[in-house]
Amino acid sequence: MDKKLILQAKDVVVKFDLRGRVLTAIRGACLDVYEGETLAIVGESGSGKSVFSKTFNGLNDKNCFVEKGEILYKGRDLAKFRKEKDWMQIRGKEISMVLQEPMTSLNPLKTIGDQICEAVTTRSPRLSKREARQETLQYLADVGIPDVERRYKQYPHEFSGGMRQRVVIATAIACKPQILICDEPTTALDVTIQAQILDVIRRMKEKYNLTVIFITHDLGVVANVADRVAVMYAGDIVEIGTAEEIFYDPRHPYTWALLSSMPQLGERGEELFSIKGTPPNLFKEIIGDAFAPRNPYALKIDYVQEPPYFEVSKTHRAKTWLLDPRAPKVEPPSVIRGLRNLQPVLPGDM
Amino acid sequence: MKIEEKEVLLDVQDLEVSFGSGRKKFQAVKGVSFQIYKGETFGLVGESGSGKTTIGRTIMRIYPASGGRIVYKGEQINGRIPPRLDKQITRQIQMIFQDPTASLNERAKVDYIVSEGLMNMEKLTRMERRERVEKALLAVGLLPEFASRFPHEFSGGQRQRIGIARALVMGPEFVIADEPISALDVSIRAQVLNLLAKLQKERGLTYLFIAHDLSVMQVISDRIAVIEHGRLVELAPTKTLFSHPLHPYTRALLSAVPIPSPAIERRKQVLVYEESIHDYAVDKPRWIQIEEGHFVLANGREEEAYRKLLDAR
Repeated sequence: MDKKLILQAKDVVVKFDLRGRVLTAIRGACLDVYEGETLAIVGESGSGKSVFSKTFNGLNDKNCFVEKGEILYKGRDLAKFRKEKDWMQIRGKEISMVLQEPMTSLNPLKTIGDQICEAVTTRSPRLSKREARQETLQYLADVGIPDVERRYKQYPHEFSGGMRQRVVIATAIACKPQILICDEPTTALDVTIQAQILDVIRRMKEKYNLTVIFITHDLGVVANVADRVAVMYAGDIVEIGTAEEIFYDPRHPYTWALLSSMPQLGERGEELFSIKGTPPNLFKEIIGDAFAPRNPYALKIDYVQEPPYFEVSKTHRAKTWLLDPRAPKVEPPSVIRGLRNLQPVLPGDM
Repeated sequence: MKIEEKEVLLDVQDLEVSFGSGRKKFQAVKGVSFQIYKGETFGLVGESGSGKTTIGRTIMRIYPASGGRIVYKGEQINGRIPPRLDKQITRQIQMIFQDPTASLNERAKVDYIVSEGLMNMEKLTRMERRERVEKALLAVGLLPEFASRFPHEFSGGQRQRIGIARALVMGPEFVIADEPISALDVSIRAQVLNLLAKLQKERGLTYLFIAHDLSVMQVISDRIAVIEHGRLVELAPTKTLFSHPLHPYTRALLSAVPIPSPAIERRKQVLVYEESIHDYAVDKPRWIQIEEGHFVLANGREEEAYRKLLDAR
């Protein structure tokens, strides 16, 4: 890929101080984000996908600290940032965020027009009131809110969940960011609304030349939005590749497990695949491969030594000993091999 | 199995539910009719605000029905019913709730949470009670020792299992599951769905499964009813509904189901349902059976169009 790197995270270790006990949320994760792409980060809850992306704009709680590693953005190392003043130059203007629950990210006491306008005037303080308002109306129209003049004056409670999420997206866009991080933006929404919101995000990305980092646990959503996919487990990225590589040629057993547990792939009357066991305790140091205790394909070495990245192709690498030339050949489960031949639910001609 | 040979367990006839009165009156369910057969899983899908939870809760008798009848095993169970029947229904119809954190009393131990319903019904010695609770916990894959713990000590999936144990301990025949997996993590969802399927097999349970996500329905339901704005728009066996949906709303829902395949998702066109495409000013829609077991809400003109679609298949 000859695309330009926009954000580069190297060996990032993020820890939380919980009353003296230290929890390691991110265990040396590396991630390259290229300009103009949509990168999806998937994983179970507690895998650290939210924490990881929040370190990019300093939104983690106070007891969280970056212990090691670099996060390079436009020649600056975000991992070194400590003061709010530093973050104010990045947050919003450069890296903006859309959160899961639209009601909690909006101020219930201000009209939505004022909230977006606030973002516009913070970004460009020289604008006159009328210009700022005009621009706000434009953003509202962009995200597909009808009747903008009337809607401008309404409060968040007068909007439905899907409309609220559109407003949140408009607020994020109004800062004119380079990177938009979407943290489970559709989890609280119905499937039909979800499809619409994904569409809005896609259109905004085109129109404003955004780079999108999309965090979700739903692989169906990933298939819809992502150019590249990073699979996260226990604070580390275990596999990364283009969407096609991850869906049609996954190599890590955890990716297999995640894909096979999707209800879309189940058959009535047959038992659904589920991942046995629980994610590891992050208070303790993990020896070997973090996924080994839950991995039916685990090798002896998995319990002793952490696997390095094995390169499958230029864009695709996975952290599993199964890719070592000395490892026994293991075929992915048949469900995975069937993903290539999936048919759309609705026959096209009807 | 032929449909006529099946025993009807629950028969909902022209159910209407409304909240408030006078000018503030809001009708949440508008004349809904369906039958649930013994031993099947009946799926009810719709968006939030469509009235699917209201129907479930009305069958549970949490909300009163403002019109229509709910018949369970041949006896009407809405409105005023004799105490004998009341007691029987309470045992036989149980519910599993969506949010396993909100639906468990955080100040009670699991033992009490699971057995509270039982204690209201019969006199039990402490030993008997413990035995019943342990049995229920084992049945849902939890350890008997968990009885003395509090809900906050459990993970989301385990909490949902406690919720299921609470329903099971009553020995129900009919279980209403209101979005039981929506609040759970991806990896846990499959486990809970497997558990529900296993219990159904072992105990011959009948489920009313309420969800907004058709992808889940596909693996758990025998038949699916689609509800929109308090009205059923289509009802069919799962395979039929997925292979040839008729109503535009069902088609919109189906088109939104995410498929785990980038090649399909990128080419996907999501259909948006507009209520205004129906011309119901003169020709009112009726609930018609268009082929065996396949019902759809349509007026005369639409019915003709749907029939053509079916013939062309």
